[in-house]
Amino acid sequence: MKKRDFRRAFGDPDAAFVFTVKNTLRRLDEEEKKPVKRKMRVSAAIAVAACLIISTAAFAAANHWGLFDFLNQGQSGSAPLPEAIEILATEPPQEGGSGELAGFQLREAVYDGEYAYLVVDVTPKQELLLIGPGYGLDDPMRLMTGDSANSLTIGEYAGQNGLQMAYVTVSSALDALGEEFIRSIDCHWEEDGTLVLMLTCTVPEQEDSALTSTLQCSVMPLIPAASEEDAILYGYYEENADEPTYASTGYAMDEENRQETELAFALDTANRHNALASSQSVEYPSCGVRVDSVRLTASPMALYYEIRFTVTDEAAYAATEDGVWFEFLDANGDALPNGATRGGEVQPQVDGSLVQSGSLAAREELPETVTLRAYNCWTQERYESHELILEP
Amino acid sequence: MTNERFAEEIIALTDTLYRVSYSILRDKYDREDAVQSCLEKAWKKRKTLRDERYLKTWLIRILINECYNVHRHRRELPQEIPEQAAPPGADPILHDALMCLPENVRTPIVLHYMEGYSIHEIALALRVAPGTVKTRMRNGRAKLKELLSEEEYS
Repeated sequence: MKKRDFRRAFGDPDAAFVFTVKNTLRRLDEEEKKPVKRKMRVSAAIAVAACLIISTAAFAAANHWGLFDFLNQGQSGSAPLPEAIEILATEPPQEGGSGELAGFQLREAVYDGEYAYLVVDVTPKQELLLIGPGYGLDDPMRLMTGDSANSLTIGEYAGQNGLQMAYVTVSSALDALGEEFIRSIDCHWEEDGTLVLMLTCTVPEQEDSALTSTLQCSVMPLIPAASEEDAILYGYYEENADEPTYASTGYAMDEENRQETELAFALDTANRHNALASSQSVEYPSCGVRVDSVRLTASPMALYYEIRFTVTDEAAYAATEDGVWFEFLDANGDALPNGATRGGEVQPQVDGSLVQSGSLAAREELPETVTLRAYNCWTQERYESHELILEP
Repeated sequence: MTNERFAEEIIALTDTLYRVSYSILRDKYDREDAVQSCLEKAWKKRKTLRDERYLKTWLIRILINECYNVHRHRRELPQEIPEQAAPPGADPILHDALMCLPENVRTPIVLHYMEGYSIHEIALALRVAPGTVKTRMRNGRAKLKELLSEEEYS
């Protein structure tokens, strides 16, 4: 039996990484004597600038971040089309969401029949600093505000402004039933204390054109810990110790004053969008599969795709170790970027076929043809590519 | 701890910083951003570290947070398709197998098998329940077994 050294899995740090570590430490030592502003990566600066331009143009009147502020942030190559604003629902029908600590309101939403994108305002009713899902007390406040001039941590900001910290979490009834409804949550904290959340949700196939669901919303205040036992802990351990040692953050969760509320909502789907499909069968002998159909569904949010394929050569397919994926190519033979939902997945079907689904960047015009190339996601080996004709 | 001593300790942990950030972030520039932010935060907070024996755990927790911050900032979701080739000196089979796992499964495995973290420590570092860590590691081990084969997995 071959024993593998896990520490060798990723190799050694490259020279640039080592340089970053050493150079950062050297710079920090120097800055302690003469602080200087940290340089921003060019890509990040461009992303921020693009975001500001789009936000200003489309939402000059809005006080809080909107859906497109989130979606345009740092991903101009896969941003929605400008006409996506036409299918944006503002303050859709909803019920609940109120509470003594904070109110939850669904302010904007898009349900394009494939995905739902929800913007929820969480408005504090008390002197609270609402902390978004996934953030810690030591995280920089600028990550929630987008204000790079803010050098305080979340905990420091709360202390300096006399605010009690409270964690905000949102889940859905579908998540509780094992369906993955909420795929990701993004946050933006506003100057007036409102925490704006953007939820990207996968909508399972359903007969109704309307989407109804319920968000389970929680606010958990933090209070000074009465003892170490009550405190939220950070784990520490000695190199050779069997048991970890813990350090207190100094705060505990105030379970007694926890707020639990539900926010039920209903969204009408936008008109069904143009869909194109190819029923051409094309063979990919190098990896032992045949593509039976390709379907593209256009939305101003993204160009969603579904590729149905079948294994035709068990031996060739087995050699790929289930690693067959498809990518769409542009005229130059480069892979097209992912759309607003990012990523994709391959799901086996009851009839034995496989379906790869995902999204590409939204387009003004639907393509008449697509070039589809198969590749091995483990080895990155590229197989055949075929051009397919799409029809309404 | 003096500035010089702190820097020496950090430099000695460069391999660990690399492995943990590699597990979470695909892009080398993102990894460099994350480790830079991590070191800035650690430098600023170093005087709050009451016992320098815990430096490694403390630093790794900060790094994980920063990696996730970079993830959020980039608005990337963990993707299913491994895109990077194994770097020079890596075990390519193990590398590719690990990179085929979803990030939320891979990172607990990296922390456990590469860095020696217990289930409880991983749960604290990732801010998830210990049961969730166990489930992810169980799923990850099963997938690794598939990928590496029973004979090669250890």
